[in-house]
Amino acid sequence: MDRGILLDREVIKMIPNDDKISGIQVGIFIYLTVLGVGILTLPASVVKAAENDAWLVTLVSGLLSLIFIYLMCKVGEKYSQYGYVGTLKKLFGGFLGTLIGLVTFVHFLVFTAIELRIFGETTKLYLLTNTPLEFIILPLLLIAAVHARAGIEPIVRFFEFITPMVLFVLIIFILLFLPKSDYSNLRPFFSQEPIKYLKSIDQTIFAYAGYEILMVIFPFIRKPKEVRKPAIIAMLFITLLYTLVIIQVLARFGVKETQSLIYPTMTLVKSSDVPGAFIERTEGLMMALWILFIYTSVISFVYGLSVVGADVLKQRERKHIISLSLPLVYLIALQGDSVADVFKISDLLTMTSSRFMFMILPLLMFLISTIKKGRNRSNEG
Amino acid sequence: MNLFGNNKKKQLTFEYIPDAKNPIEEDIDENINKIKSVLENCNDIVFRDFKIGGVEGRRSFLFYVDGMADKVLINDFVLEPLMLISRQVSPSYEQIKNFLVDAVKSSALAVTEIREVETLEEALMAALSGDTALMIDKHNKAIIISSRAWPARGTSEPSSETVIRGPRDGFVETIRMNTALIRRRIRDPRLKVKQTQLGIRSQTDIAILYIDDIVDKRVLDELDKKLKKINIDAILDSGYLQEFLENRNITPLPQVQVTERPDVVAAALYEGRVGILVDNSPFALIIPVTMTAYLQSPEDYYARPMIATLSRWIRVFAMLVAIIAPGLYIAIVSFHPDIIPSKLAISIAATRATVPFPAFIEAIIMEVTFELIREAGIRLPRPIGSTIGIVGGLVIGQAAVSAGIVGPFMVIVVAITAIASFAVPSHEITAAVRILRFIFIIGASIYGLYGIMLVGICFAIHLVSLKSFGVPVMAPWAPFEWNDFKDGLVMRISMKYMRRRPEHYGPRDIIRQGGNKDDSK
Repeated sequence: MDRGILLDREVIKMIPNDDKISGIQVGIFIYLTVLGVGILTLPASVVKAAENDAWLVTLVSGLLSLIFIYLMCKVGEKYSQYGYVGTLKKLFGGFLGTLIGLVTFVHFLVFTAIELRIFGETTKLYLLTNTPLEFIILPLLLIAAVHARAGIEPIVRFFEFITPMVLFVLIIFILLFLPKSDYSNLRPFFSQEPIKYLKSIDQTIFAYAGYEILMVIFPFIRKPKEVRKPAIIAMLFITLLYTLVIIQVLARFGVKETQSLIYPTMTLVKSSDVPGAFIERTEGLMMALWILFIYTSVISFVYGLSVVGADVLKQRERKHIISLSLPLVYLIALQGDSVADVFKISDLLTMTSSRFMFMILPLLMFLISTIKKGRNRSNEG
Repeated sequence: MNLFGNNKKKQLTFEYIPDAKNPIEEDIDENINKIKSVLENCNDIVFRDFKIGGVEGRRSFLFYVDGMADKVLINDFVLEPLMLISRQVSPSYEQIKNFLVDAVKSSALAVTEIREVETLEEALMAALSGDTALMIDKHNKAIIISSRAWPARGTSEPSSETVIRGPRDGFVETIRMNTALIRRRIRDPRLKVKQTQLGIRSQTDIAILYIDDIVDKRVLDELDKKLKKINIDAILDSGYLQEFLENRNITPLPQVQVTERPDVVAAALYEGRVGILVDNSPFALIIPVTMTAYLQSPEDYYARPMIATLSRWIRVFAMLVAIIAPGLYIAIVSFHPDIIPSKLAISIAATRATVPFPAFIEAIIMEVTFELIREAGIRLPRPIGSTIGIVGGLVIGQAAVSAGIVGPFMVIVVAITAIASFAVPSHEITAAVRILRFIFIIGASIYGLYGIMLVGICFAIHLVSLKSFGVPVMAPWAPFEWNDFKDGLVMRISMKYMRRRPEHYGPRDIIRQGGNKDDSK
């Protein structure tokens, strides 16, 4: 067994730049990609849709997304050597595959932009009141661009490096808010019509956006068969975290107040007192630490769009795709005058490309791949 | 091309070219002429012409560097047997003159180490290294008598890495003593000490140390490649060599570990790393290195595990403070005064009310002054050094504040930063921290806390992408490895449970403590 570990080690060191990642690294990748601006805005939209049972809806839609991850893994294991666009072409044929690849590219592009915009707005609100939005977004985007050019291995190693810090932040985050909450705000349970649950689950599932990156990074995974478990565990962690945050928000503010807030999570942070009070206003500090989560999401999306873009355009150099699409991301991020506009765009995205990207597409891919497998088997027989 | 007439008189029969191979002639006069012409104007060389076995005996000739060779040894155990004793005992010169050289080698030279060389260049190089070259007429080889002995500093406590508990011996400038210090700690025939010379003119001795069945051969290969590429006139210190071994030079962070302590090198060798000793330098190099190794003190392993863990926490904290404290202060004062308690914010604002500069300028003034004091303090001889302390303490601590140039809080921040930066055990890292601190100050003064995060992200990306001989510098943190993390940046478990060598150095024999049968090797 020892020698086995040694061999693995030797593989890692012998090809230092093989640009592949291990199963656990995929878990970390998914975890930090999905955690982003979603958590800042999620409670408002979910509570609007499902009121008291928002936490239940969040939990269920998180568990639902596990199924999609499972499907993605199933397909990815089989087709990992073809790459994302290659798999699409294999399953849907050349033209349709390229088209879906293009849709994915645009999806990542717009998603990065929205992520950046919401980040810029919140940073402006809580940290840098006088700095123009353009200058808040630019450095983060530039760093992400330079970083993404280096390939997936440096990205994942960076993720690994910050993971302990991130866990530390989250633990503090949760501990801070446990005491002062009024859990009677959560009652009554199951007060909505069943159809409303379905609708709100359909909406909430987009708070978990980001795990579609899994389909893209499959060819960069050293052992594709070992991915399923870490990816699902990562998603489970996110589901729990989101549920916990929603419960806290509801317990602290109640339904009516939560619905009127733009960033309920930040308000929650704001409303807490740090015992000992060396830090008076936590939300600024929290926002600063939250930049890490935003950055990890942005870099993942930028990397994802570079991979998909290069595949669609049959370019071997991903670097050029990044350089070319960055101004586009920057421009899209600056569209719209207010947060409300941005939310409108993001809702539109949610309803169209996101639904397609991580609900319909994995299902389709899984079905077609299963059918093809069956057909192959019958041909052989 | 003779510009001066007098050059014509002396005809050089032989010119020294490194790596040339001029054979030693049988005729001793020719050899003497050649050597004397090469070593012309080298007044530190001693030439001795004599005859073996009395006035009728064979002509011989030896030369050595005065001060580098052991004169007593040459007089008593080389010259005396050859010149005097050989006359008085049998067999006489007449009886053995046909196999004189063999007789001299086997029964006249009473020294432990002799060897024979065939070229003049080798003989010269040996003599210049402190050995004595002996040439005998009608013999086309030179006998090299090992006679190296020069005034050397005795081993003393390493001043750059002191410990309270642990061995007090440090490396010295003589490579032979240094290898002995390590050999004393590793009595294993598998400890290899491979010696080569580097530097065309300096011909500095370099020793590469490793334990043969633990070390990762790829590291050795890479080292070999890098050493072969070096073509420099002189290596004066291991610092010269270090720069040739690092992959990336545009980084504040070192990719080679530097130490003055033989126990640190020995511990590294046992982990499967490679030590490099350079003659004339009391600093050994160790490759590959990780950040963990840099933040460790040898004392961690001599103290009890809990205490060692605590001091590692303190060191990591100190490094963080040393890097970001001034930046954080600027960010809070000029961008986010609402983060700190309002009373504190008010008192900071009150003390800064008379200061005419923005926090950024204030910080730069203080940091630059501090760097000046520190730089001056290193250069000054010790008796004057305390003057700097008084001047620095009084002028900066007191006068600057009362003159209203800086606020007292800034003084506190800079002082804490300074203390924290000295708590980091490695001088190399302390130096890197100085640069980083200024970058964080700039970031904070542009973007506040966001700027600190941005610079932090950039720095983290840089850290995780650095590699030292194929090993990521941030291992075992990123990439994470639990086995190695147990003795890593923030914790040290008991020796009892450190059963394996750190995996990230890629040791071929991973078992440190034998337990079950197939483990022990």
